Amino acid sequence: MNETILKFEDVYYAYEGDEGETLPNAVDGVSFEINKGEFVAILGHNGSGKSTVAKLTNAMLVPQKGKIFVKEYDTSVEDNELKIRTTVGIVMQNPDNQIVATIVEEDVAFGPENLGVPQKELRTRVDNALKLVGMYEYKDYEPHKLSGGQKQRIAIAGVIAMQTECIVFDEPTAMLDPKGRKEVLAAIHDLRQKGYTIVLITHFMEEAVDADKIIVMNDGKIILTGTPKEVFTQSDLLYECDLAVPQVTLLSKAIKNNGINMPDDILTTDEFINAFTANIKQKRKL
Amino acid sequence: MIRDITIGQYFPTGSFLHKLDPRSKIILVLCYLVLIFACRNFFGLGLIVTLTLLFVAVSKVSFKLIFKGLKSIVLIIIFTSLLQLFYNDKGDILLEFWKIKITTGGVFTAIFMAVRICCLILVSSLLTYTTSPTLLTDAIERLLSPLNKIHVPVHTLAMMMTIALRFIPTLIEEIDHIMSAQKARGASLDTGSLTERAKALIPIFVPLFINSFRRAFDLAFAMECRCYHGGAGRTRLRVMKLGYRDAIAFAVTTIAIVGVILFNIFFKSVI
Repeated sequence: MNETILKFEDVYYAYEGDEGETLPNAVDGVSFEINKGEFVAILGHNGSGKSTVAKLTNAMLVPQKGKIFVKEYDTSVEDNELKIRTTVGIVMQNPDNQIVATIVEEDVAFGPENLGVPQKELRTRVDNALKLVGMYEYKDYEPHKLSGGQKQRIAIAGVIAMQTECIVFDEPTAMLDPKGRKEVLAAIHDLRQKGYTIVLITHFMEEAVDADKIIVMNDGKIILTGTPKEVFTQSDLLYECDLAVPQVTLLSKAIKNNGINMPDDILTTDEFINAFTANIKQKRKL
Repeated sequence: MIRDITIGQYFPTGSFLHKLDPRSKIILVLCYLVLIFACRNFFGLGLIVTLTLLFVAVSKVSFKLIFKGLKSIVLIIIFTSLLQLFYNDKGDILLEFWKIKITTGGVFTAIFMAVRICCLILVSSLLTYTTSPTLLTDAIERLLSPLNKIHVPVHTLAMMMTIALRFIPTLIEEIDHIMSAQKARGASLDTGSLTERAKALIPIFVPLFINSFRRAFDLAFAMECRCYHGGAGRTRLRVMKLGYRDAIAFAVTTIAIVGVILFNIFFKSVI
């Protein structure tokens, strides 16, 4: 069951500056493992190296030091490229810049077309992918007539149609309005239920609340790894990395500091309401 | 402002013409264009006008829209017709005053010119009205695929066309955004002399260019992520198959060609 799908082994990566000088490491000695079927969130503020991690996962960038394995394939071996990219797909931030074709279904077909999938199978793959993200009715639309959330779901369908097992989302909601964000997050959670391995790179803490594992990055290094409860209770450390803990967590912490007994690991509104009402009821009994 | 451009618009009405194979549509339109210039008398011209109107009717695209498209070239038609009217001195003289001489030859060529240009525009715009841009580029790619043998990168060219088409609406939107942003900063785009207005466009085009490059990098990244490696070994979602509709269209065209040739042989040409 615990098959590793993505493995970083002490990875270093530095970009080259405009004049050929080497910039400080964008990814600085990162190691982690992601198992099949896991939902992992990578958190970090802008410039923490999290987008570079995304580009490293499917051999778009190759580490200068250290190794990355997608399943058993080493990303630094050029012959593995196709295998790697059909295992790990990336959904980027800007929905406009990743749609290639002028018709929705043609765009979804773009990946499998490149792989040379026969026409009949292509049709079923495209239809299934569109149904999975709830965009089947829009298959004949032109992408520019869709909303941001819809475009992003098309991009997701494009990755699904390639039958990748793992999808890396690089800040998929950063450019969307609240409605679009909700749609995309719902689609991501659907995929999680269907057994896809999901890596969600984001700086919105709320999106990471129900992840199996959270990796927090700062200045190219991993500073924290753990379950959401383990990570969010370290609010001081997160604050140092310019990351905001969910507001309910901060609120319950403030209440606790005022002498009222509240648990440390409250992440959602529901948990807060439960703990708080329990508190009040207890007080009344006294 | 830029949104008003209607050239190459597509009106999905699902008509007979829409369902034709785009490849045969391209070939047939080329045939008609040649035919329009090959006919030399009023019988042939009558046949072509009838057919053109028939196509317009079959396309189910509203007449209003189609003739609105013609409106923009009315000036060109009038201009060419008048030139023909005054400068052609073949045939009998109908009217003569001062230095101007109007002859039957002039009148005929003028009428011919006007009708020909109208038909030309109608037939070719019907192609874009009834075929989506994607299908059109797709069809062009397939029609030109023999050129691959002499190392013309047909697939790459078609891909470039598709991407260009895809990004036209995105870039138009972007221009709108940048214009509003610059207006909010106090730029005046509609006042001043011509040079001032041209200069006011610089702060619009510089960010547009920079953003386009960023988009291009992003898109290249996305395409590579999805295993794009040129045209070799690609399959296609859409299959193009000739059907009975194409057979009918080709039959009609053949009849038209034979008709025009016969009219040209048996009747005196008037131009």
